[in-house]
Amino acid sequence: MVELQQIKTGFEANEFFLMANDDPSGRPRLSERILALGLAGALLCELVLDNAVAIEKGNLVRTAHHRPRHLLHVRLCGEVDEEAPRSVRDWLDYLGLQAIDRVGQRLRNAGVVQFQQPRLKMPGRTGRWLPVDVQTANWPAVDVARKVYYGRATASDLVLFGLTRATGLDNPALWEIRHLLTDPTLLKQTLSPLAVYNSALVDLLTQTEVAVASAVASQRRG
Amino acid sequence: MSIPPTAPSKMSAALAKDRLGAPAVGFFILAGVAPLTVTEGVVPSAFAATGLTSVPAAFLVVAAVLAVFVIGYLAMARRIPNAGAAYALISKGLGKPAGMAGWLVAVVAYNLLQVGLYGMIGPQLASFAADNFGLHASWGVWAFGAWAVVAVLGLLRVDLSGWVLGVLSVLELVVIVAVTIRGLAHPADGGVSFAALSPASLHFSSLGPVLAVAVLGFVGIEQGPVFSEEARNPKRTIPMATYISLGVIAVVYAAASWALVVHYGSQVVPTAQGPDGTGMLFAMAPGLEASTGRSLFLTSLLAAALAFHTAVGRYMWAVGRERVLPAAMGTTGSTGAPQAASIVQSLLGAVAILLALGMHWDPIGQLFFWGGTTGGVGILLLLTAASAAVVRYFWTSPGDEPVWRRLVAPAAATVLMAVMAWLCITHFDVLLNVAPGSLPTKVLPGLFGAAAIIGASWALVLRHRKPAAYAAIGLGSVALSQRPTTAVGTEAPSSATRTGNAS
Repeated sequence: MVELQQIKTGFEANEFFLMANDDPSGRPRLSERILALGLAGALLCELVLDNAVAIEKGNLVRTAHHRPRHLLHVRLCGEVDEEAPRSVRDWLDYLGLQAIDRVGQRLRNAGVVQFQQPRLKMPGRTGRWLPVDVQTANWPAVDVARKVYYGRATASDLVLFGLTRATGLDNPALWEIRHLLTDPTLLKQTLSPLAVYNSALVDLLTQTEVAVASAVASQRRG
Repeated sequence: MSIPPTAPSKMSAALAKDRLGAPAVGFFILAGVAPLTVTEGVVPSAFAATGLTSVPAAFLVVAAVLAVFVIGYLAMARRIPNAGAAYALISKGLGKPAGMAGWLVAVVAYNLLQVGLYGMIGPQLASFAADNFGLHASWGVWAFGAWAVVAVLGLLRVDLSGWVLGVLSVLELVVIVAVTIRGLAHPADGGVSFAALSPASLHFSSLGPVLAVAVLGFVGIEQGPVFSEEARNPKRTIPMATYISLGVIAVVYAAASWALVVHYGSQVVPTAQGPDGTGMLFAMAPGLEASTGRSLFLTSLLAAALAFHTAVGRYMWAVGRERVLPAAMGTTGSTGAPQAASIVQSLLGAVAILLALGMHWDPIGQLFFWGGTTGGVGILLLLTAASAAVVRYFWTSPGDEPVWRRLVAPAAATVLMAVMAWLCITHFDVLLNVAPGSLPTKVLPGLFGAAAIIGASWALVLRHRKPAAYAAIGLGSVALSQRPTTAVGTEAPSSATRTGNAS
C-alpha cells in the first residue's frame, strides 16, 4: 500500500490530468476546453487544500497566513494577489486558458509525462502528453475508484471524484463507482464529507460543473 | 487635470480576449438562422405554397413583433441562464408543468425543422452532383449522405470559431445582397413597385400562412441567451448581437423576397410553383453570383441541419442534466458532445427520411416545407408561451427593470404572437396547400398539442415520483450553483489531511 501511495504525484491537477488522458496513447478523454476547465478547477482546489486561498461571497481571495511552497502555487497566488477579488467563474475561465500547458509542464518536470509534437503541424492541432510509465498514469483513477468504493476517500480523492462528475469524464478504471457519479442521491452522499471538510471545495466543484455546462452548450472555440 | 485611464489587469485583458463579443455572438446566431437556406429554400416555397406575394411585408411585420418580444425575453434570460433558454423561462414564469410542455414542444419543433432540411438537401445535392460530376442517384441517397455527415459531426462536436462562422455568414449575406441588387435592377414589368413591402398587402384571411413562413425564417434568433455565460458583457453583448442580427436578417429577407416579386412580376407565384422554383433566387443573377450561391446554399443547408441538430441535442442534454430525462441524456462523450441526445436526434432524422421515401412524399414540397413551416409554428407557440412567462415573472419579481421592458413590451408581444399563432393554426390548410380539414391540417399542429400534454403530464409524474428532479426543471446552471454546500450530520473525510490514507 505504501509503495502504491508513492506513485501518486501529490497534486490534484496532476492526478486529474492523468485520469483525463488515455494511459498508453496520451489521447485526451475530454474535449480540450472541458479538460482545461477541469484542470483549472483542480488547480484552485489545490490552493484551497493548501489553505492558500479561500472563497468569500463567491470571490476567490488569498489567505494572508499561508505562504505556498510549490513553484506553480507561488505563481498562481501571485496572480491572485495582483487582482482585485474576482468570481470563481472568472478564475476558472482565466486559468483554463493555460491550465493544460501548466499542468502538463509540471508533470513533465516531475518526469511523469513527455510532450510529443504532432507529426503533421496544422492549425488547431496540438501535441500529446505521453505518460512515461503507463502504470503510474493509470494509478490515480484506480486509486480514486478503490477508495471511494470502500468509503476510505480522502479530501483529495473526493475532489478528483467531484471533478470527474463535473467534467463528465469517463475513465474505464472508474467503472465500479460509475453509479455513484450518475445517481444524484448517491452522488450527494458521496460528496457530503467534502462539504464538512471545506465547503469551498464543493463550491469549486459546482462552479466547474457550471462552466463545463456553459462550454457544452455554446460549443464554441473562440 | 484628468485622471489617466487605468490599464486593464492581465486577467481582465485575457478574459476579454477569450470571451465572445457582440460580433462573434451575432455570427453564432446568424449561423443558426442560415439566411441563404431561408432566402433560396424557404422564400420560393412560400410563394409556391401560399400563392401570395406579400412575403416581403410579412418578414418586416414578424421582425417588428420579434423586436418587441426580445426586449422582455432577453431581460428575463439574463436572470435565468440556461442552455434551453425558452423552456427555462416558461418553467420560471408559468410553472414547471408548463415548462416541460414548452420543452417538449421545442424538441418537436426543432426536430421538424432539422429533419425537414433533409428534404431540401437531398434534391439539391442530387442536382448538384448530376450537373457537375455526372453522378445520378435518388434524393434519398444524398439525403442519407448528408444525414451521415450531420450525425458524425454532431457526435464529434466540432468546436466552432466565431470568426470562421463570421466569414461564412458574411459570404452568404454578400451573395444574397448581390443577387438582390441584380434582381431589382432588372424588374419584370419595367418598373419597381414597393407594394409587396407594405403591410397593407397583408390580408387578414391570408395573414396566418405567410406569417408562419416568415417566422420560420427567423428561427435561431432566440438562441442569443445560450451564449450569455460566454459573453464578454452579457448585459450588453447578448442584446446588441440579437438586435443587430434581427435587423440584418429582416432587411436581407425582405429585400431578397421583394427582389423576387419585382424581378418576376406577376409570374413570381407561377415560377415558384414550377419545376425551377427552388432555383429562382439565383436565376436572377446568372454567372458568378449564381454558381457561388449554389455552392454556398449547400453548405448553408448542411450548417443549418447541424445547427438544429445541436439545438435539439442541447435541449435534451439540458433536461438530462437536470435528471428530468434519464441521466445518460445529460452526459457528454470525449468530444464534449451530448452523445446520447445526438444519437437520438440522428435516429429521428433517419426515420424521417425513410418515412418520406416509403410514403413517396415530395421531398421539397412536403418533407422540407411541411416540416419547416410546422416547426416554425411550433417555435412561434414556444416563444408566445415564453413571452407570457416573461410577463408573469416580472409581475411577481419586477426588480429594477423599467416598466416598458418588464410589462409593456412583453404583454404587447404576447398578444401579437398569440394572434399570429392563432392565424397560423386556423389557416394551416393554406400553409400546407392542402384541402381544408384534411388529415395533415389536424395531425401536424396536433403534434404540439400532444407534446404539450405529454410534457406537462411528465412533470406532474415527476412531482410525485422524483421531487428532486421536478424541483430542478428549468433551473440549469442555477440548480447546480444552488446545491447545498454543507451537509449536516455527515462525517468529514476519513482523514483531515488532503492525501492521508485511512487504510
